[in-house]
Amino acid sequence: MTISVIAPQDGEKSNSATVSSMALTYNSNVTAGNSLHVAGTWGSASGTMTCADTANGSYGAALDSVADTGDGQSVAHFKLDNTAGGANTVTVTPSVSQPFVGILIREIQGTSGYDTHAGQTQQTNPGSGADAVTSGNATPSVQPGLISGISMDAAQPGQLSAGTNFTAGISAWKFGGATGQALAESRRYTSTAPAAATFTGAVNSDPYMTVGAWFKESSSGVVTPYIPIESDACF
Amino acid sequence: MAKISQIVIPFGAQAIGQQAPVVSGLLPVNLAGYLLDFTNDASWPATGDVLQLFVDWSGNGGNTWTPHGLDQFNGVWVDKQGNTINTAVGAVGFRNGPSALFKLRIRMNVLQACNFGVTLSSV
Repeated sequence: MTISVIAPQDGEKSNSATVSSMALTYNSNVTAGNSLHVAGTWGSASGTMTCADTANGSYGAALDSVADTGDGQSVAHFKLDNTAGGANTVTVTPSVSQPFVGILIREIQGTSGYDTHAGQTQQTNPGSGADAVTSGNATPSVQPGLISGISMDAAQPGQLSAGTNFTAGISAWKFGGATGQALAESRRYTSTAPAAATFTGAVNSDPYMTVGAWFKESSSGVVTPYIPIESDACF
Repeated sequence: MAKISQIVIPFGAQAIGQQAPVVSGLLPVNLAGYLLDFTNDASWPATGDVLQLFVDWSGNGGNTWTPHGLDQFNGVWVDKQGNTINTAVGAVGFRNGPSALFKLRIRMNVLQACNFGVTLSSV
């Protein structure tokens, strides 16, 4: 199976009130063996966040935790491989109660698991050119694979679009507004060259927080053995 | 899609304990998500978990329910400048809109006595 994000499983939720935790359930049962990519945000440039779900338990330490000190907002992301199947509710918990908390959940199929990650803290004034907003490079160990990227503009909503050759996912973290302050995206890659989760930001002076997780396609790195054909024919 | 009020829990004193679910009518097909407008007041407890707000969904008109989201309210609400406020907004987006016979319901577990109200609107 070709690796991909299961689009209907993208989900997001946000709340500007002060909460000690926030949970969101996948729209459908998750499939055993798939990988899960979760991002959370909270209204402070300090503190941490943890992640767990009802099917698998704790996700362990965040892959990256990035902060926008000017807008007082942070983003962290997590991965879980080889998920148990079934109904699944994911909970993000900031280290202290916070306002402006959000959660974004994704399910990835056709993967043998996580490979690497990258995160860019408060990329200030990146410019509005294509792909100027970036997680920074990571180098996958094998190919093919998939980059699942999330970027947030904590200053204002509706400024992000997917990077070149990326497919946009869910627009997230509206906090009651008409458009989201974050965007998810994904791209299948077929090279082990360094690459980044890139986005285009409409406002070149806004600060952006961008993270990405790389996942291996389930056939990645597998060498098909050469089996010589022996013939008894004589000429 | 226009914002349409679907569930209203009027602002007022909320007794401690599990509250009966409040159910919406059938929601618009392919709605993009829903908003939750919250209200409290100066008597809102400053510390500790105050209220758990659950949202469940049904794809069969309310015959069966599936948990969708939970917010655990804890602490005074503030704006981005740190000023105490008494209104807040939650939002949920769908990547693909649900089909017909879709309903939502709100369940509250009140952990500390408080004055609180919430309106769920489809968008």
